[in-house]
Amino acid sequence: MSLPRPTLPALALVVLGASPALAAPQVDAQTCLSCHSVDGVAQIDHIPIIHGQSQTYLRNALHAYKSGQRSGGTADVMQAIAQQLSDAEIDRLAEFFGTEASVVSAAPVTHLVKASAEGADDRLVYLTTEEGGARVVQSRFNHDYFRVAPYLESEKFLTFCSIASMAAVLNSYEDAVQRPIDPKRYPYPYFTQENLFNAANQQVKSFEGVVTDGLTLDEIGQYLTHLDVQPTTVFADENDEAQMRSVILDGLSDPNSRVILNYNRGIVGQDGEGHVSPIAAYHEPSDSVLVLDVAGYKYPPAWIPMPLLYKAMLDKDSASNRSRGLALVRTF
Amino acid sequence: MHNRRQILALGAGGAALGAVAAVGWSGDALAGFGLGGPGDLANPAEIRSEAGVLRATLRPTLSQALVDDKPRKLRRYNRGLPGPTLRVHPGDVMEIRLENGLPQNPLALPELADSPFLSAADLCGPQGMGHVAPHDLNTTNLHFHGMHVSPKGASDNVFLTVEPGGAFNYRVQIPQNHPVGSFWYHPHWHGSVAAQIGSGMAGLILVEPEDYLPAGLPERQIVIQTVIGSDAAAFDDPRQFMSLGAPRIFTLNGQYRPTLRLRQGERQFWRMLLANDFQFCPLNFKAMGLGAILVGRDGIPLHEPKPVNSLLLSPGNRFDVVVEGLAPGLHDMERQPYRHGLVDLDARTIAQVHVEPGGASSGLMPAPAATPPDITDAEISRKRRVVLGERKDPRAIFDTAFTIDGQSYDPDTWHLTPKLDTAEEWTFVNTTAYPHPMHIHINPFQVVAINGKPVAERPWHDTFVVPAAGTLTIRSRFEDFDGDFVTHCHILPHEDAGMMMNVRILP
Repeated sequence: MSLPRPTLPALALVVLGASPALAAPQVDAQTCLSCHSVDGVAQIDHIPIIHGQSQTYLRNALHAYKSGQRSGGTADVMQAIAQQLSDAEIDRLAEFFGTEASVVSAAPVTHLVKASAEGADDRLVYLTTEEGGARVVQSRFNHDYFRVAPYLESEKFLTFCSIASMAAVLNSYEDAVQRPIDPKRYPYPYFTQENLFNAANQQVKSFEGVVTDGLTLDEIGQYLTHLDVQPTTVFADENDEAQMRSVILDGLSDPNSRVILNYNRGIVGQDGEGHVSPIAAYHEPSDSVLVLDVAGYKYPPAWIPMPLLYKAMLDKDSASNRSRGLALVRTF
Repeated sequence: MHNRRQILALGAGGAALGAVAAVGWSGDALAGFGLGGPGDLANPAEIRSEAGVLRATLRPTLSQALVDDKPRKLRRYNRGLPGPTLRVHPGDVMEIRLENGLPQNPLALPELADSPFLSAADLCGPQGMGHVAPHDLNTTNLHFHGMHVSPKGASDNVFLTVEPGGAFNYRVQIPQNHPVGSFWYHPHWHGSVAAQIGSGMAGLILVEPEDYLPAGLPERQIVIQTVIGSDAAAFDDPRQFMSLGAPRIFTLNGQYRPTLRLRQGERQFWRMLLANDFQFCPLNFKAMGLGAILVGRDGIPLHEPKPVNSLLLSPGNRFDVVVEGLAPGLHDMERQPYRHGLVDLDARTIAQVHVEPGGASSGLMPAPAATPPDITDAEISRKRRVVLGERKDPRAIFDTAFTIDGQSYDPDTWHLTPKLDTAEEWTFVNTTAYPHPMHIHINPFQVVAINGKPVAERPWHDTFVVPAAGTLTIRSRFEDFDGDFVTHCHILPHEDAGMMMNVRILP
């Protein structure tokens, strides 16, 4: 018997137990971005770029639209939207778009990449070096590299390392998980750094919340449960180095498992702090772990010695007040 | 070798009078000029009114049709792509029997009853599942798009439901003062509109007095449709037809990339209809080697015919254009590039125009016809703002539902309630990043401003695009008919996803 297809998306969400809060007004940063564009490039002729504008200007403009002081012509469009906003929401959006975080841009750190990649910090071995490539070939735990690397995309915002990592890992399962069809990539199913934000995940943390603060390890676990896979979060402060290594090896050995790493990259000698990226391989002779860095504009993937990586996972995440660690992802 | 004289003889000999003209020939006088001959696009089959009454049976079925090179399963009227053209006079009555020959709707999933997203109020139709997603794709009815007729009873009543196996007898009284031009019929059951029109259920209605077309001016009907080109099941899968990116096959009168022939200097009267559910179709006549004189838009004659180089056909639009062969040669008819909000749609060749040397200009035009008087400032009794939006809704395809004034279609909402014999000015405010061609049933409207900038010519339309993140201001006069109908986006996947609202004309 053929079933009516339109019901399937609805049912998928029923299974996920998404929020039934359908009636709430839905103006959020994503609403703004649909016209004002994610990457700061104007897509529609008369639409201004709002990223990085003065917060005061944005707040005043939204109030002027809301009150009707600005109206007529295309101002009617913003008036219709601003009328749905409370003063608090106007403050929040002005603050959001008035910060650098809302602008997607490549960080100017190429000099850092060069310095590190050329071995200035010899604790790390970058994949782009001869030794780095050789380790992948020698590794007995390298299958995830070939599964995940093809799907790796750089994070869309500086705070989207967890989102980009989840998208790469989920896409690496190909048809083993139900991937959403993104209208822009129709008819091919594919996880993007936008469609991970389904209704249930927006309840965990909103799009603009992630743009501002990123996700903690615990929140990564919650996001994954809403994406048709089974996550296990493993915190470094509850496990010793050997146990963490064993979790990584378990994940790399199982074709149905992937490992997402949450660490402090400053501790391993890179520029930056809290970071998330998939783990792609383990090299026994050097006891090092290959991390597929989703900030590809900063660093290529790096082999990080396990003792150093363990220290980087032990770092306390100020957002959660807990240590960092691993998210082990399995398909059902 | 193509020979015009032979075709003339054949056409005259084969002149089919009475109710149904043969397929491939547009009728007695017109076939004389060779339309639809070898290597030339034929007009659709035609049904005409006799002694003031047009009698027709429209029977949609789900059946295989050859589109480009592959057979595809489509919903079509009388197994045609498009359906037959109906030709009537002002003052005629259309008696149309709609027999729903589509298969039964598949049963709804029992789980739906327990869905936390669906309440009883969400369900529409016997198997329906809500007002924000396609459903019951084989339930149907009829709409007479652009016609100024009663929205009540057995007339242009889009609230009627004709289930598979069922039938309904429409009776549409066309007023004596009805505008002269091109209109169309198509199904309008909320939930199955996109799937049915998108797969081919549409046909022209030509309203004109007896002496409208001069002998010697061939009439070419051009019904442009855009069926999905992926697989047979595409129109049963909303995730396919709801996407702007779906591969679409442009057909003219059901033909894939046909050739339209005319002589250099020769005039033809083109009745153009974009009978589709999604894609815009900008056309450039100069690039086709043609001169063009616009006579009417959406069935409303212009005050004065005017030369045009290009026209933007939005889904649902009709344009009546006298074309003249200018540049001899074989020219591409291209759907011109179009910026669909954030998405650039590429140019696409949809047909070829063959301008053959050796003709002579006839200088002929269709008879002049009345334009409604402009709607003046003094007439406006009320101004309204109608806000178009979108929202996340897990019941909708791709989680995207569309809204008017903050809500997806609700059959019980009646806040657009103008009074009969008044005129109003409405500003559609588009808060989305995509253009929406808005259609209002029963009464045409005048476009007075786009994005707040006045439009000097104030063209009459019944469907006109509201720009992405922009505004459209129109004026409409609510004459002759009180009753209930709708306004909606004619990107029909948006309509099925909720972008529709009731209108009630109070007596």
